[in-house]
Amino acid sequence: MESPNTLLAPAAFYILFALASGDKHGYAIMREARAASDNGLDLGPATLYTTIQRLLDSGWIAEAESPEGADSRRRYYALTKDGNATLEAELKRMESIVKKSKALRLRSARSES
Amino acid sequence: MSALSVYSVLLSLYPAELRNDFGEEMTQVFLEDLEDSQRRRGISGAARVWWRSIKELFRIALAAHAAGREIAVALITYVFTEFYFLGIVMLEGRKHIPRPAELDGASVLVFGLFPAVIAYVALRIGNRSVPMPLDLSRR
Repeated sequence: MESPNTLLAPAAFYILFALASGDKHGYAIMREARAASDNGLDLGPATLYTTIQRLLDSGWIAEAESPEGADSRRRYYALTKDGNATLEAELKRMESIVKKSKALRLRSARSES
Repeated sequence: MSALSVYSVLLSLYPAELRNDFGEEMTQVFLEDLEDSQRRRGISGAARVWWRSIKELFRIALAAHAAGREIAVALITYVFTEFYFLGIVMLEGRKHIPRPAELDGASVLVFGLFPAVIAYVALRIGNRSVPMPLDLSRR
């Protein structure tokens, strides 16, 4: 398994983020990932599934049971404990960089006045 | 020609591993995306989905094939240089078989180490199931 301290690639981050709110099939992951990135993420089926393949191999996501009445051709994916830890570590890292950038902005505003 | 048949052709260019594991899902997701985008944004929405698929084809499928070619080129180079070296030893060696200590550094580098290093690097690159831009982590 890769270390949770590594920086995540955007597609991997948004897929984990989409799964944090519950198990989803491929198209639902794609829509949610795009929406979370304000459509800034250029996520097509090949990028989606190559990343899903890597996330499955890393043990950060796993195949989940399909809900009752769901289309049997669809596969559902769920965030694992390791995947959740990775996502949390990435979110903390982002929070910390936002805090630091705000402090820098305050300092530069003070020096301008 | 339907969107399904065109996408099937594009899909056939992706690595077999990805096609076997997720080909059906990829097609389904593509068709849903196409239908959804067309309904919301008309022709420009559909064009955007097709454009994204072509970009992905270059970024993922062709990158994977290029990595495969690197392996083939490196292995062929390695085998040919080793045969060439073996040929020299066999022809010249009848009179005088060079011992490893008598070989100059350049010969060892050109005929032995250099192709081996190229083969090793190419194998390392080619062993990635997903090309570099799609690695999970950015180092």
